[in-house]
Amino acid sequence: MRFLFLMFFSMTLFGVSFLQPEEAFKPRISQIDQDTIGIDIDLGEDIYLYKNKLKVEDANLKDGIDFKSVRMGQSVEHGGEQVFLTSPAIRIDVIKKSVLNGDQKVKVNLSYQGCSSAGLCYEPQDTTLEIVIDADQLDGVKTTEPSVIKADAIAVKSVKPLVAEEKNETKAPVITSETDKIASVIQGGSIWLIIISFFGFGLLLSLTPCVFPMIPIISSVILAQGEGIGTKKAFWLSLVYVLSMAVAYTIAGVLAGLFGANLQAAFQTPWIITVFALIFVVLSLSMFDVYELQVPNFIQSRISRLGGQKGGIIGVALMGFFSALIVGPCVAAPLAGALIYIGQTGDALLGGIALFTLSIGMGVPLLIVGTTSGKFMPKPGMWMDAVKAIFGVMLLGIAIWMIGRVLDENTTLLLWGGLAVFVAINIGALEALGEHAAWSARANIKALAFMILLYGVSLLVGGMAGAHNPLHPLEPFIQSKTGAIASADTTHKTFEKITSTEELDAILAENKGKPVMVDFYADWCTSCKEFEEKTFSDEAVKIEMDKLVLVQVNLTANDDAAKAFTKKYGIFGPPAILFFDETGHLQNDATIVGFKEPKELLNHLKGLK
Amino acid sequence: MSKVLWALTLIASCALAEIKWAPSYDAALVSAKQEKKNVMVMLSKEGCPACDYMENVVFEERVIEDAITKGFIPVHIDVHTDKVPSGLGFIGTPTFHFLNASGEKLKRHDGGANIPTFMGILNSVKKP
Repeated sequence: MRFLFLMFFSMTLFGVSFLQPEEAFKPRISQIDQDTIGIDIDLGEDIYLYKNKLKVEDANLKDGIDFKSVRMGQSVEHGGEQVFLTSPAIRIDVIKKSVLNGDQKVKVNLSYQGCSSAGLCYEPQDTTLEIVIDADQLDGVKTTEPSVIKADAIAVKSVKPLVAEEKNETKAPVITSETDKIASVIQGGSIWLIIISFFGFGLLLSLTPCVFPMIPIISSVILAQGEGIGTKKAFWLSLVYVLSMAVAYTIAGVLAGLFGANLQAAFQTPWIITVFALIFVVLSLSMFDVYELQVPNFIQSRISRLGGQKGGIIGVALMGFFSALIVGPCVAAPLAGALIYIGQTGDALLGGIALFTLSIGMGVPLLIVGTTSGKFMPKPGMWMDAVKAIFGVMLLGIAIWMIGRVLDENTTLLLWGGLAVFVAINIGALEALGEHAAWSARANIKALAFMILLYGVSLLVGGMAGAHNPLHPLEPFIQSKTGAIASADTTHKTFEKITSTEELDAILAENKGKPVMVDFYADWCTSCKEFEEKTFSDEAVKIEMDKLVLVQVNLTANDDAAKAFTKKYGIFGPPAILFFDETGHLQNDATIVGFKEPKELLNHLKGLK
Repeated sequence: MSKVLWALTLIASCALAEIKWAPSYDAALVSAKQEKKNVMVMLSKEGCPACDYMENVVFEERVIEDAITKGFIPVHIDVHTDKVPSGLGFIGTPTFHFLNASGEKLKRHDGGANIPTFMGILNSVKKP
């Protein structure tokens, strides 16, 4: 884990360092010929200037020398704006307006604004340049040309001073309190889902074979601690026990959340995800009785002694708290799973709430049994082993869900199929009904099991044929059938994957005469995956993309080769798509940055020249 | 069914993290003190492609959202329309300043960064 942070940290050391404005833009003035002044702004590496922010002004309107015209070099389109990638080569023709002789000083106000394509936009810069010219050589033609000439017809915004003025506005500080935060989480709705599901899990946990038989025993112990046994008192004592147990679990949940908060980044790396998925698989094995996971006996007995020493309400509370630590073999694995999950969210508040509701759920049967002194109690039996198995299957499900973030959709689908088949067979999909009557519970379960089996098999079969949508596992067969009728047109072009600018240059050279689409991708970029799954897989988009040469640049390594792209094409990072025309020239105005829905990309592709 | 519920729970919790920008620099300092977090100031302006990239791509990334939500009170300052707090220097936008709740500067980063690089920056800021 430390290695990971070091790796992240070292990346910042390789981060781009930006030029100071005075290195980025080096304006200079020179005399081109007898009545022409030249202003050049030498641009540093990766620097470009906005044409509409470039402004040239006669600084002294009364010096007798006026600007007749201002010309500048050719700008190019870049990200939808006209920019200069090299010096704008401003040329000012000057004329004499009054009788002047000998050397005269000409002052020019210059303002400009630009950005580094490596990802920084400089503040507007203002400067005054001076040059001495020989007035004897100037034309003396009177002119009515305006002396302020903007670089572009577009109105130029007034340039703000670099130092912001002290405004005396005092904004009332708006405080976002912790309660606001909780409120927003609740409004989000998801918190209820979490509460309900954890409550449900708690309830289920208490119905597992190694917890349930304990309930009457625990309740009798609780009731023995408080001597008089009225129904009301019995309820209160049981409640104290349950709440104390909940406190212990809540602490565990909060701790897991806090601990996880510092490991957020680490949880996103493929090998950590893989390790956790494996942990879930191992935990699930415990639910299938492959081994027993529980707190060692000597610790258990010591804790139970601690709790049992005191009498009355306090004794019951202590028992409740410590009994949470005596985790039985059925509870240990799901609890570990829940804690790992909380750790992943890194949210202490959520962790506390989740584990609290979990323990309340676990306490409900205890409350009922305790209050009714065991009059009301479901019959333990085989069904409890089924509850335990459900947890095992759930843990496996989580493992697959987690590893799905690392594996491709198709492999994940196969894993789901495998799980479904295992479940189906284990609940008796293929077992003979024997003497079980029609419409008996056994028969119904078999029917259910058979459906799960069918679904699982279709996932496996579809998965092997390349399906990736679990809702339509048999899609590949349907497609290939219609494809066969509509001829081989359904096979689409795929991206040629590259990692260096040299490779791209070679592809561009090879494909002269064809338009090229270059997609920038990285494993760590979620919107890139969205592009792949939603947009590039859209049939209409595919058809349109078939008209282009498709190249995909993988920037996952984030190394020098990857950074070379950023520099060369002025993209900050993935996702981005560049388009090159038939002559191999980049179509700057067509560049896409960020995710686009299939429709948007389709329109964009259709709009290409 | 419970399997599906679990998955739903897990997915739902992902939606909890969305970057909530503080309404002002002062408010950010107050919240930072309350929530024992650092403050992340983003200086930006109109017409700055790198700022847009940060907003539309990097801050949309779950890892980044989570890291910011967990460790920072983020606040946005437009260098042309808002008052830039004194001491927060910049040669251009975006510029990121990381400060503790008392307003002491911890780190400055000039310019945009892609997801792993920005993650590295966030991680290198000393925890409160």
